Amino acid sequence: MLELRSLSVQLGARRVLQEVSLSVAPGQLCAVLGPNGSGKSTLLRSLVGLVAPTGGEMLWKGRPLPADKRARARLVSFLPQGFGGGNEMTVEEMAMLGRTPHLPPYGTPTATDRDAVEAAITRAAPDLRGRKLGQLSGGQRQRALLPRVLATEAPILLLDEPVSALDVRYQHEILGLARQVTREENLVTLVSLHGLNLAALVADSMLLLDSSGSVAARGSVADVMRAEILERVYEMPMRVSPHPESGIPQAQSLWKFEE
Amino acid sequence: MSRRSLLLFLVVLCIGVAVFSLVWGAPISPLDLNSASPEKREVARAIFLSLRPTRVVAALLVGASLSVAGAGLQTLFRNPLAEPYLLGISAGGALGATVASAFKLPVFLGLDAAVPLAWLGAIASGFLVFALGRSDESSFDSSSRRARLLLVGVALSAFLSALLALIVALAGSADLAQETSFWLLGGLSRAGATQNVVLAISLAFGFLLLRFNARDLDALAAGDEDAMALGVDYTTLQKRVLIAAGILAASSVAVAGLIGFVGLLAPHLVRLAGGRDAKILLPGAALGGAALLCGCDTLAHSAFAPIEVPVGIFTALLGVPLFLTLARKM
Repeated sequence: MLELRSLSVQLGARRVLQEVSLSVAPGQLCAVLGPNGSGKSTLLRSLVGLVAPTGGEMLWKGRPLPADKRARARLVSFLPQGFGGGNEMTVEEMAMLGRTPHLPPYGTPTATDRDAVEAAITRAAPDLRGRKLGQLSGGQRQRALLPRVLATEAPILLLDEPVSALDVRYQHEILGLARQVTREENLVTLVSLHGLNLAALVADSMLLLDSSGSVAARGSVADVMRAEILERVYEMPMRVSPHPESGIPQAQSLWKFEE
Repeated sequence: MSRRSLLLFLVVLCIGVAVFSLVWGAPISPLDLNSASPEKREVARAIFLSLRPTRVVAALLVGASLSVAGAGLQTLFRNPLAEPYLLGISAGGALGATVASAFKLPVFLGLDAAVPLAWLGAIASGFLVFALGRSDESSFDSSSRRARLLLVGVALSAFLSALLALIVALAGSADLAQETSFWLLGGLSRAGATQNVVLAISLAFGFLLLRFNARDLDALAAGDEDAMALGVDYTTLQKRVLIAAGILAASSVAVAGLIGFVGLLAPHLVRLAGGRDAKILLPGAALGGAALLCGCDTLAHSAFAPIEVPVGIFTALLGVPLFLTLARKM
């Protein structure tokens, strides 16, 4: 169980997260939602140790997440927003970087490392073997980065807006993969997303932050996807109705465009 | 080319260039070592067993040092144009060495104070260029980030060179002025056995410091934040790379002056041949840089013989076109 207790983060003078509490059980995918600037990325970055919280606790199996960077990286694997670099690398080379927290300082991988990389590629990007990241389309590239976060074999998986630049088909494909691996490997997965409806289709639970960085709603999809909550957080008129096939709540905009 | 055959090729190349440099353009043949005439034997001995080997070893060591420093800096800054000369790190070393000479600092442990002061100067400029050239965390535009680093390097170089010129002007010593002009042009004519020992020790130190951080250096290719998420202690890594590059560049500067572009050329060629990860890039850059500078030095003292041209001229003639090609792609 991953547990956040009253997590607060202040960056300079700005309070980015205020008293955020959350718990996610293994095998569950939790969607982290909220308007731009609500602290979704900061929440994930605090978990991986890139941002130091100013208050609260982050617990894994009842114990604080380790402060040691490498120990933390073995426990929490993180795919940042955007593309950091590595255009000239192959999918295999990029995936091997996921083993960084397990390798000795001089960096020679063992058979265990190679097996983990192979398994991660087989799962997430078997069709992209041997390709260079720079040759791939945006959607393929995002999928080609997944083997890296999977190869770490960390029990906590964090994906920061993994589908924000992708077309609707790739959005489903990437999040479908994330959900499948969460179930099969019994991971705790947090995914920050902008798309409410896709999040509702794929997530087991949701955390909705408002623009002050506080929890606006938390819990099951049905608990969070409610018109009065969404209208307050996004400051626009909305309606929520069940998906025609699955009955899962889906939000529609009631925004009035000027004629 | 497989990694092993790439390194093997570079070892053979290095040995080949070194042997060629020992023999090429000498006034007498190495066969005269066994000559019947004692005078010829004496001259052959001086040339082939003392003068030439010292210079060839110095060229190999300086080339390897500059190239390993370049490889480390390029990886840290994720910028193929990073290089001790272009970033002002070599100029920092030259300033340190000049200060030692201008203030006639004492010889310490048989070593000229110029060497440790050059180390200090180069390491300090490395940290300065890092602090000034690093852009905001929020900046995702990698080409402007790369350009900014180089601009900072150019400005720092100019500033440090101006300080150096000021010290030389105020000291009013003809010897110092001559020594400085030697540093600014770069050349291997003053290498000696003691300097080679210093170079070898600093090369071993710098190389091993980088090599034992190969894992973290490789992770940087994914992006700074990605690497930190993978458990890389970025601040520590940054310090280690800047210290290694500073010492490598400064020892080279103290012995051979400002030689540019070796740190750009050799790592680039190794990377082109497939050696992108630090386990191959570092030894490959060392061997490639050694062969490159040794070859350029032989060219420098034989192409226009009896005039000896400073070797930095040849490395710049080769390096600038590559720099421009890379800069256009940026």
